[in-house]
Amino acid sequence: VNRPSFPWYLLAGLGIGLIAGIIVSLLIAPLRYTQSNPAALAAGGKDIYRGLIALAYLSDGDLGRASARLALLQDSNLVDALAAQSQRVYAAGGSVEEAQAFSLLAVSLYQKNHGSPTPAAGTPMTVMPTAQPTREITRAATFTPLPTFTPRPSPTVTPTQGAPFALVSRIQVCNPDIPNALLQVEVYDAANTPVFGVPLTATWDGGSNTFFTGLFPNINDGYADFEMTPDVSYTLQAGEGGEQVSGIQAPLCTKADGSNYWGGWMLAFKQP
Amino acid sequence: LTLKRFIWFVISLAIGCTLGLLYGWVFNPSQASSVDLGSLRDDYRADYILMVAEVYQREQNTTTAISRLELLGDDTAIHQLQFGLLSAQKYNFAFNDLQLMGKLYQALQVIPVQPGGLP
Repeated sequence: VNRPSFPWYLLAGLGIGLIAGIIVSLLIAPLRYTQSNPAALAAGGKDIYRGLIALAYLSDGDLGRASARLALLQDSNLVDALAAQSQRVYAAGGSVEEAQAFSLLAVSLYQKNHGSPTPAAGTPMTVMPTAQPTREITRAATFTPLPTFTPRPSPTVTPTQGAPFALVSRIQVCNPDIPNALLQVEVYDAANTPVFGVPLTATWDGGSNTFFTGLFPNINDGYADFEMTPDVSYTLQAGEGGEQVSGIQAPLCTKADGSNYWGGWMLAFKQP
Repeated sequence: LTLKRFIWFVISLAIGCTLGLLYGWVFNPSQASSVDLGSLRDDYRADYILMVAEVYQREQNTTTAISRLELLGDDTAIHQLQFGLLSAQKYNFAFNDLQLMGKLYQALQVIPVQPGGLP
Protein backbone atom coordinates (compact mmCIF):
# COMPACT_ATOMS: atom_id res chain seq x y z
CA VAL A 1 0.00 0.00 0.00
CA ASN A 2 1.43 3.37 -1.02
CA ARG A 3 0.11 5.78 1.69
CA PRO A 4 0.54 9.51 0.97
CA SER A 5 3.18 11.07 3.25
CA PHE A 6 2.22 13.87 5.69
CA PRO A 7 2.67 17.28 3.98
CA TRP A 8 5.42 18.52 6.25
CA TYR A 9 6.38 21.17 3.71
CA LEU A 10 3.02 22.87 4.27
CA LEU A 11 3.51 22.87 8.03
CA ALA A 12 7.06 24.14 7.62
CA GLY A 13 5.92 26.95 5.31
CA LEU A 14 3.17 27.96 7.71
CA GLY A 15 5.55 27.94 10.71
CA ILE A 16 8.31 29.89 8.98
CA GLY A 17 5.81 32.43 7.68
CA LEU A 18 4.21 32.81 11.11
CA ILE A 19 7.55 33.43 12.82
CA ALA A 20 8.65 35.86 10.12
CA GLY A 21 5.34 37.74 10.37
CA ILE A 22 5.57 38.03 14.14
CA ILE A 23 9.18 39.26 14.00
CA VAL A 24 8.29 41.88 11.40
CA SER A 25 5.14 43.08 13.16
CA LEU A 26 6.59 43.22 16.67
CA LEU A 27 10.27 44.05 16.17
CA ILE A 28 11.12 45.32 12.72
CA ALA A 29 8.06 47.37 11.86
CA PRO A 30 5.85 47.65 14.94
CA LEU A 31 2.56 49.45 14.59
CA ARG A 32 2.94 53.23 14.85
CA TYR A 33 0.06 55.47 15.78
CA THR A 34 -0.12 59.01 14.45
CA GLN A 35 -2.51 61.91 14.80
CA SER A 36 -3.61 60.74 18.24
CA ASN A 37 -5.49 62.78 20.75
CA PRO A 38 -4.44 62.89 24.42
CA ALA A 39 -7.25 60.54 25.44
CA ALA A 40 -5.68 57.78 23.35
CA LEU A 41 -2.32 58.00 25.09
CA ALA A 42 -1.05 55.05 27.07
CA ALA A 43 -1.25 55.38 30.86
CA GLY A 44 2.33 56.61 31.16
CA GLY A 45 1.83 59.25 28.49
CA LYS A 46 -1.36 60.40 30.15
CA ASP A 47 0.45 60.75 33.47
CA ILE A 48 3.13 62.91 31.85
CA TYR A 49 0.51 65.01 30.08
CA ARG A 50 -1.54 65.41 33.26
CA GLY A 51 1.59 66.33 35.20
CA LEU A 52 2.46 69.04 32.73
CA ILE A 53 -1.08 70.42 32.92
CA ALA A 54 -0.79 70.69 36.71
CA LEU A 55 2.63 72.34 36.54
CA ALA A 56 1.45 74.74 33.85
CA TYR A 57 -1.46 75.64 36.10
CA LEU A 58 1.04 76.47 38.84
CA SER A 59 2.70 78.81 36.37
CA ASP A 60 -0.24 80.65 34.87
CA GLY A 61 -3.07 80.05 37.34
CA ASP A 62 -5.48 79.71 34.43
CA LEU A 63 -8.02 77.21 35.68
CA GLY A 64 -10.16 77.41 32.53
CA ARG A 65 -7.24 76.42 30.39
CA ALA A 66 -6.19 73.65 32.79
CA SER A 67 -9.78 72.31 32.81
CA ALA A 68 -9.94 72.31 29.03
CA ARG A 69 -6.66 70.49 28.81
CA LEU A 70 -7.67 67.91 31.39
CA ALA A 71 -10.92 67.32 29.54
CA LEU A 72 -8.87 66.15 26.58
CA LEU A 73 -7.70 63.19 28.64
CA GLN A 74 -11.33 62.10 29.14
CA ASP A 75 -10.77 60.88 32.70
CA SER A 76 -14.05 59.77 34.23
CA ASN A 77 -13.37 61.92 37.29
CA LEU A 78 -10.82 64.69 36.90
CA VAL A 79 -10.42 65.40 40.60
CA ASP A 80 -9.95 61.75 41.49
CA ALA A 81 -7.43 61.28 38.69
CA LEU A 82 -5.41 64.26 39.91
CA ALA A 83 -5.58 63.20 43.53
CA ALA A 84 -4.53 59.67 42.67
CA GLN A 85 -1.60 60.85 40.61
CA SER A 86 -0.59 63.25 43.36
CA GLN A 87 -0.38 60.35 45.76
CA ARG A 88 1.46 58.18 43.26
CA VAL A 89 4.05 60.90 42.68
CA TYR A 90 4.57 61.42 46.38
CA ALA A 91 4.64 57.71 47.19
CA ALA A 92 7.22 57.14 44.45
CA GLY A 93 9.46 59.76 46.02
CA GLY A 94 8.81 62.21 43.20
CA SER A 95 8.89 65.96 43.34
CA VAL A 96 6.88 67.35 46.24
CA GLU A 97 6.17 70.42 44.13
CA GLU A 98 4.65 68.27 41.41
CA ALA A 99 2.57 66.32 43.92
CA GLN A 100 1.33 69.57 45.38
CA ALA A 101 0.61 70.93 41.92
CA PHE A 102 -1.77 68.02 41.43
CA SER A 103 -3.40 68.64 44.78
CA LEU A 104 -3.76 72.34 44.10
CA LEU A 105 -5.37 71.75 40.73
CA ALA A 106 -7.64 69.07 42.17
CA VAL A 107 -8.83 71.40 44.90
CA SER A 108 -9.32 74.28 42.48
CA LEU A 109 -11.36 72.07 40.14
CA TYR A 110 -13.40 70.78 43.01
CA GLN A 111 -14.16 74.32 44.11
CA LYS A 112 -15.00 75.31 40.56
CA ASN A 113 -17.32 72.36 40.04
CA HIS A 114 -19.08 72.78 43.36
CA GLY A 115 -19.15 76.55 43.47
CA SER A 116 -19.05 77.92 46.98
CA PRO A 117 -20.22 74.89 48.85
CA THR A 118 -22.57 75.29 51.70
CA PRO A 119 -22.05 72.31 53.91
CA ALA A 120 -24.95 70.01 54.37
CA ALA A 121 -26.81 70.30 57.59
CA GLY A 122 -24.54 69.13 60.33
CA THR A 123 -24.69 65.44 60.81
CA PRO A 124 -24.91 64.63 64.47
CA MET A 125 -21.79 62.83 65.42
CA THR A 126 -21.13 61.00 68.61
CA VAL A 127 -17.63 61.69 69.73
CA MET A 128 -16.11 59.72 72.50
CA PRO A 129 -12.93 61.24 73.85
CA THR A 130 -10.90 58.42 75.23
CA ALA A 131 -11.37 59.15 78.89
CA GLN A 132 -14.50 61.22 78.87
CA PRO A 133 -18.18 60.49 78.71
CA THR A 134 -19.91 60.55 75.34
CA ARG A 135 -20.91 63.98 74.16
CA GLU A 136 -22.76 65.29 71.18
CA ILE A 137 -21.24 67.69 68.70
CA THR A 138 -22.25 68.53 65.19
CA ARG A 139 -19.98 67.93 62.30
CA ALA A 140 -20.91 71.36 61.04
CA ALA A 141 -18.67 72.77 63.70
CA THR A 142 -15.65 71.72 61.71
CA PHE A 143 -16.99 72.88 58.35
CA THR A 144 -15.68 76.19 57.09
CA PRO A 145 -17.69 77.42 54.12
CA LEU A 146 -15.33 78.80 51.53
CA PRO A 147 -15.90 82.11 49.83
CA THR A 148 -16.81 82.11 46.16
CA PHE A 149 -13.95 80.56 44.31
CA THR A 150 -11.56 82.89 42.58
CA PRO A 151 -8.88 81.46 40.32
CA ARG A 152 -5.54 81.82 42.00
CA PRO A 153 -3.36 83.87 39.70
CA SER A 154 -0.04 82.88 41.14
CA PRO A 155 -0.47 79.87 43.38
CA THR A 156 2.26 79.58 45.92
CA VAL A 157 2.47 76.15 47.39
CA THR A 158 4.39 76.42 50.58
CA PRO A 159 2.06 74.80 53.06
CA THR A 160 4.60 72.83 54.99
CA GLN A 161 6.95 75.65 55.80
CA GLY A 162 7.48 76.44 59.44
CA ALA A 163 7.67 74.24 62.48
CA PRO A 164 6.73 70.57 62.24
CA PHE A 165 3.11 69.70 62.94
CA ALA A 166 2.34 68.24 66.34
CA LEU A 167 -0.69 66.31 67.51
CA VAL A 168 -3.09 68.46 69.53
CA SER A 169 -6.12 66.19 69.78
CA ARG A 170 -7.02 62.59 69.21
CA ILE A 171 -10.68 61.74 69.44
CA GLN A 172 -12.37 58.41 68.98
CA VAL A 173 -15.37 58.75 66.68
CA CYS A 174 -18.33 56.39 66.94
CA ASN A 175 -20.85 57.50 64.37
CA PRO A 176 -22.62 54.92 62.21
CA ASP A 177 -23.56 57.63 59.71
CA ILE A 178 -20.01 58.10 58.44
CA PRO A 179 -17.96 55.45 56.63
CA ASN A 180 -16.59 52.73 58.80
CA ALA A 181 -13.01 52.85 60.07
CA LEU A 182 -12.45 56.39 58.81
CA LEU A 183 -9.34 58.21 59.97
CA GLN A 184 -10.09 61.93 59.75
CA VAL A 185 -7.29 64.45 60.04
CA GLU A 186 -7.25 68.20 60.26
CA VAL A 187 -4.07 70.24 60.01
CA TYR A 188 -3.71 73.83 61.19
CA ASP A 189 -0.90 76.31 61.20
CA ALA A 190 0.19 78.29 64.24
CA ALA A 191 -2.57 80.83 63.57
CA ASN A 192 -5.22 78.07 63.60
CA THR A 193 -5.77 78.38 59.86
CA PRO A 194 -6.40 75.09 58.05
CA VAL A 195 -3.39 74.21 55.94
CA PHE A 196 -3.87 72.97 52.40
CA GLY A 197 -1.65 70.42 50.65
CA VAL A 198 0.05 68.87 53.66
CA PRO A 199 1.17 65.30 52.94
CA LEU A 200 -0.07 62.84 55.54
CA THR A 201 1.76 59.55 55.62
CA ALA A 202 0.05 56.53 57.11
CA THR A 203 2.30 53.55 57.63
CA TRP A 204 1.43 50.10 58.81
CA ASP A 205 3.09 46.75 58.98
CA GLY A 206 3.95 46.05 55.38
CA GLY A 207 2.78 49.21 53.68
CA SER A 208 2.28 52.94 53.60
CA ASN A 209 0.08 55.51 51.90
CA THR A 210 0.39 59.24 51.49
CA PHE A 211 -2.65 61.45 51.17
CA PHE A 212 -3.06 65.21 51.21
CA THR A 213 -5.12 67.78 53.00
CA GLY A 214 -7.28 70.04 50.91
CA LEU A 215 -9.16 67.59 48.71
CA PHE A 216 -12.36 68.16 50.67
CA PRO A 217 -12.74 71.94 50.58
CA ASN A 218 -16.39 71.58 51.51
CA ILE A 219 -15.11 70.57 54.94
CA ASN A 220 -12.00 72.72 55.15
CA ASP A 221 -8.69 73.23 53.43
CA GLY A 222 -6.83 71.36 56.15
CA TYR A 223 -9.00 68.26 56.14
CA ALA A 224 -8.14 64.82 54.80
CA ASP A 225 -9.33 61.34 55.54
CA PHE A 226 -8.21 57.80 55.07
CA GLU A 227 -10.10 54.54 55.30
CA MET A 228 -8.39 52.18 57.69
CA THR A 229 -8.49 48.42 57.53
CA PRO A 230 -9.91 47.03 60.77
CA ASP A 231 -7.40 45.23 62.99
CA VAL A 232 -4.47 47.04 61.39
CA SER A 233 -2.45 49.45 63.51
CA TYR A 234 -1.34 52.65 61.78
CA THR A 235 1.24 55.31 62.42
CA LEU A 236 0.45 58.74 61.04
CA GLN A 237 2.77 61.65 60.34
CA ALA A 238 1.68 65.09 59.20
CA GLY A 239 4.14 66.86 56.91
CA GLU A 240 7.83 66.28 56.79
CA GLY A 241 9.39 65.92 60.21
CA GLY A 242 6.03 66.13 61.96
CA GLU A 243 5.09 64.20 65.07
CA GLN A 244 4.45 60.52 64.46
CA VAL A 245 1.28 59.23 66.05
CA SER A 246 1.29 55.48 66.45
CA GLY A 247 -1.21 52.86 67.53
CA ILE A 248 -4.11 54.18 65.49
CA GLN A 249 -6.56 51.36 65.04
CA ALA A 250 -10.25 51.33 64.14
CA PRO A 251 -12.23 50.98 67.36
CA LEU A 252 -15.19 48.64 67.65
CA CYS A 253 -18.32 50.65 68.38
CA THR A 254 -21.82 49.55 69.27
CA LYS A 255 -25.06 50.88 67.83
CA ALA A 256 -28.15 51.52 69.91
CA ASP A 257 -29.57 48.19 68.77
CA GLY A 258 -26.54 46.38 70.11
CA SER A 259 -24.89 45.61 66.78
CA ASN A 260 -21.22 46.40 66.31
CA TYR A 261 -19.47 48.45 63.65
CA TRP A 262 -16.02 49.94 63.10
CA GLY A 263 -15.58 53.47 64.33
CA GLY A 264 -12.84 55.91 63.46
CA TRP A 265 -10.57 58.60 64.80
CA MET A 266 -10.38 62.36 64.43
CA LEU A 267 -6.85 63.69 64.78
CA ALA A 268 -5.84 67.32 64.72
CA PHE A 269 -2.31 68.55 64.09
CA LYS A 270 -1.06 72.04 64.57
CA GLN A 271 2.16 73.96 64.23
CA PRO A 272 3.36 75.19 67.59
CA LEU B 1 5.31 17.07 -8.30
CA THR B 2 8.20 19.11 -6.92
CA LEU B 3 6.93 22.34 -8.50
CA LYS B 4 3.47 21.69 -7.12
CA ARG B 5 4.92 21.18 -3.65
CA PHE B 6 6.95 24.36 -3.96
CA ILE B 7 3.88 26.38 -4.91
CA TRP B 8 1.96 25.04 -1.92
CA PHE B 9 4.96 25.73 0.30
CA VAL B 10 4.97 29.36 -0.83
CA ILE B 11 1.23 29.63 -0.27
CA SER B 12 1.51 28.24 3.26
CA LEU B 13 4.45 30.58 3.89
CA ALA B 14 2.29 33.53 2.82
CA ILE B 15 -0.60 32.40 5.01
CA GLY B 16 1.74 32.01 8.02
CA CYS B 17 3.27 35.41 7.38
CA THR B 18 -0.16 37.02 7.18
CA LEU B 19 -1.21 35.43 10.45
CA GLY B 20 2.00 36.61 12.12
CA LEU B 21 1.49 40.17 10.89
CA LEU B 22 -2.12 40.14 12.03
CA TYR B 23 -0.98 38.97 15.46
CA GLY B 24 1.58 41.75 15.84
CA TRP B 25 -0.35 44.59 14.25
CA VAL B 26 -3.94 43.83 15.15
CA PHE B 27 -4.37 41.38 17.98
CA ASN B 28 -1.33 42.00 20.17
CA PRO B 29 0.59 45.17 19.29
CA SER B 30 3.89 45.39 21.17
CA GLN B 31 4.67 47.90 23.90
CA ALA B 32 6.56 49.88 21.29
CA SER B 33 3.25 50.32 19.52
CA SER B 34 1.53 51.95 22.50
CA VAL B 35 0.26 55.44 21.87
CA ASP B 36 2.99 57.74 23.13
CA LEU B 37 3.39 61.49 23.22
CA GLY B 38 5.18 61.44 19.89
CA SER B 39 1.98 60.32 18.19
CA LEU B 40 -0.02 63.41 19.22
CA ARG B 41 -1.78 65.36 16.51
CA ASP B 42 -0.06 68.61 15.54
CA ASP B 43 -2.34 70.93 17.50
CA TYR B 44 -2.14 68.81 20.66
CA ARG B 45 1.61 68.57 20.22
CA ALA B 46 1.82 72.36 19.96
CA ASP B 47 -0.22 72.71 23.14
CA TYR B 48 2.09 70.24 24.91
CA ILE B 49 5.04 72.38 23.84
CA LEU B 50 3.21 75.47 25.08
CA MET B 51 2.80 73.79 28.47
CA VAL B 52 6.53 73.09 28.56
CA ALA B 53 7.12 76.77 27.84
CA GLU B 54 4.66 77.82 30.56
CA VAL B 55 6.37 75.62 33.12
CA TYR B 56 9.77 76.86 31.96
CA GLN B 57 8.67 80.42 32.58
CA ARG B 58 8.33 79.59 36.27
CA GLU B 59 11.10 77.03 36.71
CA GLN B 60 13.72 78.60 34.41
CA ASN B 61 15.24 75.15 34.05
CA THR B 62 16.33 74.44 30.49
CA THR B 63 17.48 70.89 31.27
CA THR B 64 14.02 69.88 32.43
CA ALA B 65 12.40 71.67 29.51
CA ILE B 66 14.66 69.82 27.07
CA SER B 67 13.88 66.44 28.63
CA ARG B 68 10.15 67.20 28.40
CA LEU B 69 10.42 68.21 24.77
CA GLU B 70 12.42 65.13 23.93
CA LEU B 71 9.51 62.98 25.11
CA LEU B 72 7.79 64.02 21.90
CA GLY B 73 10.02 61.84 19.77
CA ASP B 74 13.47 61.21 18.45
CA ASP B 75 13.98 64.73 17.13
CA THR B 76 16.03 67.24 19.12
CA ALA B 77 14.31 69.49 21.63
CA ILE B 78 14.97 72.62 19.62
CA HIS B 79 13.52 71.07 16.50
CA GLN B 80 10.46 69.98 18.44
CA LEU B 81 10.11 73.55 19.64
CA GLN B 82 10.49 74.95 16.13
CA PHE B 83 7.82 72.58 14.93
CA GLY B 84 5.61 73.61 17.85
CA LEU B 85 6.03 77.29 17.04
CA LEU B 86 5.04 76.74 13.42
CA SER B 87 2.01 74.71 14.46
CA ALA B 88 1.03 77.28 17.07
CA GLN B 89 1.05 79.99 14.40
CA LYS B 90 -0.91 77.77 12.05
CA TYR B 91 -3.56 77.11 14.71
CA ASN B 92 -3.75 80.78 15.74
CA PHE B 93 -2.43 80.46 19.27
CA ALA B 94 -2.60 83.69 21.27
CA PHE B 95 0.26 86.12 20.92
CA ASN B 96 1.24 85.69 24.58
CA ASP B 97 1.50 81.94 24.09
CA LEU B 98 3.72 82.40 21.07
CA GLN B 99 5.87 84.75 23.12
CA LEU B 100 6.28 82.14 25.84
CA MET B 101 7.37 79.56 23.31
CA GLY B 102 9.68 82.10 21.75
CA LYS B 103 11.35 82.77 25.08
CA LEU B 104 11.98 79.08 25.58
CA TYR B 105 13.35 78.89 22.05
CA GLN B 106 15.76 81.71 22.82
CA ALA B 107 16.83 80.00 26.03
CA LEU B 108 17.56 76.76 24.21
CA GLN B 109 19.52 78.56 21.53
CA VAL B 110 22.00 80.03 24.00
CA ILE B 111 22.89 76.61 25.39
CA PRO B 112 26.35 75.69 24.13
CA VAL B 113 26.25 73.04 21.44
CA GLN B 114 27.26 69.68 22.84
CA PRO B 115 29.46 67.27 20.95
CA GLY B 116 26.32 65.27 20.16
CA GLY B 117 24.73 68.23 18.37
CA LEU B 118 22.04 70.68 19.26
CA PRO B 119 19.96 70.06 22.37
